[in-house]
Amino acid sequence: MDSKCRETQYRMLDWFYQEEEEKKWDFDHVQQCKECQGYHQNLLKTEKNLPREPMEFQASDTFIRALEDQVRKERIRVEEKKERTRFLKELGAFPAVAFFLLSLMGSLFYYDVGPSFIQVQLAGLLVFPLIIPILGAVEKKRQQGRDYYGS
Amino acid sequence: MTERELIIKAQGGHNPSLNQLLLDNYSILKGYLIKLTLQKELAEDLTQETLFKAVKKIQDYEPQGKFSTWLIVIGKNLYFDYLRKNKREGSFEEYESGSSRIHEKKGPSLEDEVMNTFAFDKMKESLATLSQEKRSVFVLKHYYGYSYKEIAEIEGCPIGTVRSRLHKSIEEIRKAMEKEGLDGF
Repeated sequence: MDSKCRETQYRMLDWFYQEEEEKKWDFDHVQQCKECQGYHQNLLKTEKNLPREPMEFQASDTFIRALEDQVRKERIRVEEKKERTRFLKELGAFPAVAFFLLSLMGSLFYYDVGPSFIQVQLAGLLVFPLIIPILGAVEKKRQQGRDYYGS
Repeated sequence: MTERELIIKAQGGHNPSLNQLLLDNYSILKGYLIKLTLQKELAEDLTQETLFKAVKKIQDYEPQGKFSTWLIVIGKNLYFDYLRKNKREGSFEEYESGSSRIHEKKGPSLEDEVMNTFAFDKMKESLATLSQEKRSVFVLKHYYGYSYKEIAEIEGCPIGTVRSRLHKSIEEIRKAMEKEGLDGF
């Protein structure tokens, strides 16, 4: 098959399978080429011998139930996996944070700034309860804004 | 509800949406696998396996084209894995399922009626002459009207290759039908 025939037959194929809306092949060539005429006929015969309707299938009730069951099990599995990952993260984070804080305190005492550190901590503990109502008011205001915009 | 909306809801954890999405595509997936494998029982098992795998992988799915395209890729890959494991390409031996099949309905179903028709036998004979790659392209185009672009995505090959495989498929089917002495050829 030469390149002209190949191109013509490809264009026939494109039209036959609705990739192209119009017949875009070289009609003069087809009139003279028996191979391309034959190919055109083959396309039409294929249509006749292998009708294009796809088969229709319906899943049985048993299958539908099994699928629903599978979906439910999978969701549970995913949730459990998420929970496990979060637990492992927290498990890893706790010793890391504890180690960091202890190291920090150790360093402060080592460099003889321990007393000042304790003073700052005490000040913090005294001031912190006073901040809570302010934080509450800010949060309340933010919530009111969110309700206003409906989100 | 559109397919896209169903996908978004399914990925958000809404089970009924996921069920509906899968069942909406059940027919096309099973039809494709029957024509690809030419073995009813194998196609049924692969359909089941494909849908169960889709349930597991739904979070990884990126909605670009049709949802059925994604299912077909999974089904096709499962079938090719099966062929690699069994090295029985083109075999017409009876497939014996290892899994518990849960598709069948009691009594003759529409599917059984269709499967038993002469049309299916004729189709089977014709499609059996094609290699797996050509058969897959031909089935997707001829029966399901996928575009060259979509088929190229499913097959993982360039559009030119899809066109070429389809062209050769027509030729090979003609030869097979001529050999069978079927009407029209």
